[in-house]
Amino acid sequence: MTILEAVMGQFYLVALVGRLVGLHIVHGSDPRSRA
Amino acid sequence: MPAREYRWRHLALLISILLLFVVAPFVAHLHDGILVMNVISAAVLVAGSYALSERKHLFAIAIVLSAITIIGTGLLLAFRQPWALLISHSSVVVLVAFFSVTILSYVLGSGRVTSDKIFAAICVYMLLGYGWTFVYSILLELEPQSFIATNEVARNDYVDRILQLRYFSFMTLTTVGYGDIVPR
Repeated sequence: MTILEAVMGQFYLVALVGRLVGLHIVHGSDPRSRA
Repeated sequence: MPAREYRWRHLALLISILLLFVVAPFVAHLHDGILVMNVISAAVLVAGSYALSERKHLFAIAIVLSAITIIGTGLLLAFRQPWALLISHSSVVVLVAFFSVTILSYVLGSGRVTSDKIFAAICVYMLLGYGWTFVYSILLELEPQSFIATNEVARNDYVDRILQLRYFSFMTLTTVGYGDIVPR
């Protein structure tokens, strides 16, 4: 269980940062979302 | 685009969680320390439910789970028996898992990255550590030899146990691993 938590903690950060950066890039380059 | 009043809803949850983590070690051994901690824990429940209030069916589930958790905590405070601890902590685990999943779906969903989304993401990270604390507490109750600690993990003092296991949980979640508490 400890291993599961440690792995979850690392993967959460990686997946989260990847997803948020992806969303930011998509919406940052979309001129409609800037309105 | 969320309505204006929902813009900072996850900030309230984040503040209440951080308040609980920061204040708990200082008030735990005071005369009314447990009461203070329970009040802040209730604030976490309210803030968590408020964070979900935009989605009515999830809000209703959060209210029901929160009520069960409050009853479970009341049982633990009243009886201080192993069965009460198992009921109380199991309900907290279910509630925290529910909050985590629903907030995570909001964070990872499509839409612009707002400051509220960032706060929500930090909330989920904090909730993960908080939820695992109670999983370890249940494990310790079922198998008392689960952890090796330089200072023995408190088995009879409910508050000390939670504080130590929260420390261990966040140490594990962040993979710091100081090694003063080790799983067997």
